[in-house]
Amino acid sequence: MKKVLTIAMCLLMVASMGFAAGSKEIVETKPATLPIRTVEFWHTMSGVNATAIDKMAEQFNATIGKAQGIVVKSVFQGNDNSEKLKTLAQAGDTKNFPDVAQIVGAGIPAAMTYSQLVPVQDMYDKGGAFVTKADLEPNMIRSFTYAGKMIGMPVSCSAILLYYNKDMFKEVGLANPPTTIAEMADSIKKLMVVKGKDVERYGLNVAVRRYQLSNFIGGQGAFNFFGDNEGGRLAPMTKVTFGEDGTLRAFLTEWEKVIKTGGYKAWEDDINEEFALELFGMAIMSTARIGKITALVGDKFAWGVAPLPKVNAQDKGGIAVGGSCVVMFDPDKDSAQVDAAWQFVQYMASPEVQFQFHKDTGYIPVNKKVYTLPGVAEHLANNPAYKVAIDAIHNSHPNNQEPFDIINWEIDTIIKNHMLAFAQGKETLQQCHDGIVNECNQKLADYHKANK
Amino acid sequence: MSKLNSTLNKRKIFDILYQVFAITLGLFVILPIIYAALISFMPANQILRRPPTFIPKKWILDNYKLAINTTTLGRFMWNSLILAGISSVVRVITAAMAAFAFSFYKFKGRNLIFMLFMGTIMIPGDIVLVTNYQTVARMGLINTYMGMMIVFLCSAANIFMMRQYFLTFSLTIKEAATVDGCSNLRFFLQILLPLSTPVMTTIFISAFIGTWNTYLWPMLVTNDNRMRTVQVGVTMLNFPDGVVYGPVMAASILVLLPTVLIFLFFQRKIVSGIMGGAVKG
Amino acid sequence: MRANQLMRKKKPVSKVVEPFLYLLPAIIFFILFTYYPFIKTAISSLFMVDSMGRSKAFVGLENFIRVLSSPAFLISIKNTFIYMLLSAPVSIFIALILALVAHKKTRSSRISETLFALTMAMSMSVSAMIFKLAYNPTIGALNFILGTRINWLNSSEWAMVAISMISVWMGIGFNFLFLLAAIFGISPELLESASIDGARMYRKTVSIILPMISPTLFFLIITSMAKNMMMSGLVLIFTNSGSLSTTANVETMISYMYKQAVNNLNYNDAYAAAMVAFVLTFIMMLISFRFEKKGVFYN
Repeated sequence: MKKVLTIAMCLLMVASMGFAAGSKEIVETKPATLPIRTVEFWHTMSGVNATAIDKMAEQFNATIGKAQGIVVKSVFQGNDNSEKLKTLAQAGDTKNFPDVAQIVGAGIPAAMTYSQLVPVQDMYDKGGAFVTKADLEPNMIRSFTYAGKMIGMPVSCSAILLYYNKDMFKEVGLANPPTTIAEMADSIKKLMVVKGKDVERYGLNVAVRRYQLSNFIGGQGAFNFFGDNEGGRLAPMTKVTFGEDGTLRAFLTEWEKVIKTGGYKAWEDDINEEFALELFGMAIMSTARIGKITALVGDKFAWGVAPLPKVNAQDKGGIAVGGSCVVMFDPDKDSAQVDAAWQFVQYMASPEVQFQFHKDTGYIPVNKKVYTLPGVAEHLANNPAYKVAIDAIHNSHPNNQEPFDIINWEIDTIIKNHMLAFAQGKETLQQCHDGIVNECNQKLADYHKANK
Repeated sequence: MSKLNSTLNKRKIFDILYQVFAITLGLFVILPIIYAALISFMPANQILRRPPTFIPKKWILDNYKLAINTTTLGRFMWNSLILAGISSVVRVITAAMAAFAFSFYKFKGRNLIFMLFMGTIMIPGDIVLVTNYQTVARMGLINTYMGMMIVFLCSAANIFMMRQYFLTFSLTIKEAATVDGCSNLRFFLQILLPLSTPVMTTIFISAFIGTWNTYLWPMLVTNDNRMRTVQVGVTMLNFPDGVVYGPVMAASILVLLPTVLIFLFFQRKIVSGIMGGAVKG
Repeated sequence: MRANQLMRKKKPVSKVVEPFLYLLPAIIFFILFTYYPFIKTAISSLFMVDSMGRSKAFVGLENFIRVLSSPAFLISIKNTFIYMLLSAPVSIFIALILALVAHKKTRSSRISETLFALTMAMSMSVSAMIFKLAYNPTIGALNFILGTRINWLNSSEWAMVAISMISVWMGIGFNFLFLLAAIFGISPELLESASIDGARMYRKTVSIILPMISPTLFFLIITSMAKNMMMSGLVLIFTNSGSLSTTANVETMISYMYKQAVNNLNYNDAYAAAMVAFVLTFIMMLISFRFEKKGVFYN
């Protein structure tokens, strides 16, 4: 009976899988000659970005890889590699470490605790690199540098921007996007539409979380740090400093103007779609969404992007680099293997590859030489939004960075909960300020107590 | 005569109305699935409407093409099939064996062991995730089907269901069998198990659906695209900056099909399996 | 009395060992994959553990005191109870109505039964996707159909309700099948002693069907209670994907634990939270078994 059941089940499954029959075959790289080295590369990209990053690996295999006998196997590992690496490290499972893994900047402190890590700096110290440190954007190098040592190679970098609906701005008589938070509050007042008790159209949509706040804090003055030890980049961060240096209060004071307009939507539902539906005039999002918004809006209305509004008009810090880098591991204590992986890591950051990746995904090129390539000027002229993003990074101080706050998830939770409560009038400015500062410091203290 | 006729007619009308009512209610229950199916055929710009619309203006297959082309859905489905199929069969076997011991033997510590087994229901898999990963890694089972399946091979709830079912058999069956010179093992394999197909089917199906739908564990113990399950495939369509609903709904519908088909096929068996005494107090 | 019927004669060693042979696979499995890791967790909860999961120093109940005085965890306890009280009873209630509708045999019974049970085949990630779209305040279906402007997933009043609704829906099929089977299990004579017109239908339900299926109802409530106290999957899908502006509204005990362990490497809070969740669930089970003695009818 069970046999019958099983057979029937299999038939059923096979039949239903007919639907997926057209499915793309698994990319199985078969080198023509003897396979010499297989480099395992774990990435976190899905959708179009996954296609772009797989293409990178395929092209490497077809060119440099073919010449040097290296085959890169690119593997999707869910949206958080750091999580997976932590599990491996805790299980003492060193042999399953990949050779190359894509991680976000916040994952660097954790990655550095793994003995298998090979800092990119060590590879540079060996000499002979075909993508030199001088070729790379200094902000992006610093993004993945700890205590003066470059840990990861920037690959997919982004920037935070203000997206605005040009037609809507025109309609309410606004000429230019706001450059400060106070101006933004004024724009919201003009953009918002209230019907009875309900807000029919908001001025701005953004949920202020760790990512947004660190940009608002870091941009103040010439630049500013989120926590001690340069925001955790010289030594582990033990406390936040935005409370004592007054930058959090400065931001909250300005932000209160935004909240008071009543036209600020403080939570995000489907922000891309809603921007395309003109439910609000402005949104604060990363450059990684430019492609998405372009596709969604089509030619329904004109829109543009602008640098993130500043807290104070005289601020010079600009914005922090977002996105991810790749880090290298040496699980087998095999320096030839590491050298092979290094070839691929450099390849990912090389000018032509970065330009193609930029066109495919919208991430900002990490290699300065990209701008000398043919066709780039034309591409940027056709895509002014990307030009704004690139300029925003170029105009920012390299010291304005996301913090290495170790417990980034907890910090994120604290910030978003208090910022939402503040926006909804459940907390006063003072309560929000003290809540963020004290809870962040408490959590950091707890962490250091357990990890002396 | 006419009175009888009219009562008959009344009955008939009542009967038809009742059926219409029941089916309408059923359609209402699966409304979210219908919603997903409709959206999977919609062009992207129609999903984005205010107010929302429900019937595709133009029925398109693009979402399905995209869902299939951006992932290796076929391979994922095969992996899920192996994972869910084999581990469910094993689960039925382990449950039947344990339940047999609990319901047909008297031995020291029987109740204690039973309580300890039942206690496992209250220990969530997530707490023990890291430790289990360590165990499986030490066994060298990373990137293997065995590693993916191993934590699903036994379930206390299934043992409980099976035991409840066995308890409905009188012990005299076994005694009669034993008198006939039937060994315990033969009784188990040749008499008890064939009599238990309904409950075994129920357990198999519920285990199958459960493992088919797991996400975290298979993700954790594999780091090879070729070993991934279909639930991971669905998340691969989750674009990093916001969901693109069309292809996600299309993939969801594709992923749903096998479980729904199995379900349609075996539904009667499941009901009779549960009826067979799964819960008889 | 069953026990008395069981083999009581002096047994040779092979007979003594025999039942354990059948239990062996399950025993090995539970020791290896449930009790060993669980005991390890319980012991670790009394230690200071670093971010690599290494126990450092014995700290007694310090971890528990810290976790139980953390507002975030206390809210997660509250949320878990809201979820538990909301999801299983509502789902079982709906399933009961459906089972009462379905127990009357008609020519199209098969179709309606299938429709009622179909949600059993839904996976969590897929359901979450569908409901996420339906819950969108402006372009989603739910507010449009209800004519409301509720911010389902991002308001403190509705977020847990919205999450519970998904699980109510997903649970309907499973609960329906069990209840239908239970009603089918009632002897036909007992049911046919009453006919089907309105008033008697109600009385039949209350006086015959409900008491007869009370063991099943109890079984469903108990199993879903344990499951729901341990709920984390749906919450993790919504909060990890960044689709919620604040997680405090929906965090449950286990999702809190999971995040502390996996995202924050804070095993001190994670292990303590896990033990608190375990103990609370255990207490809830004891209470419900108390209730069983009063409310459940066995024949």
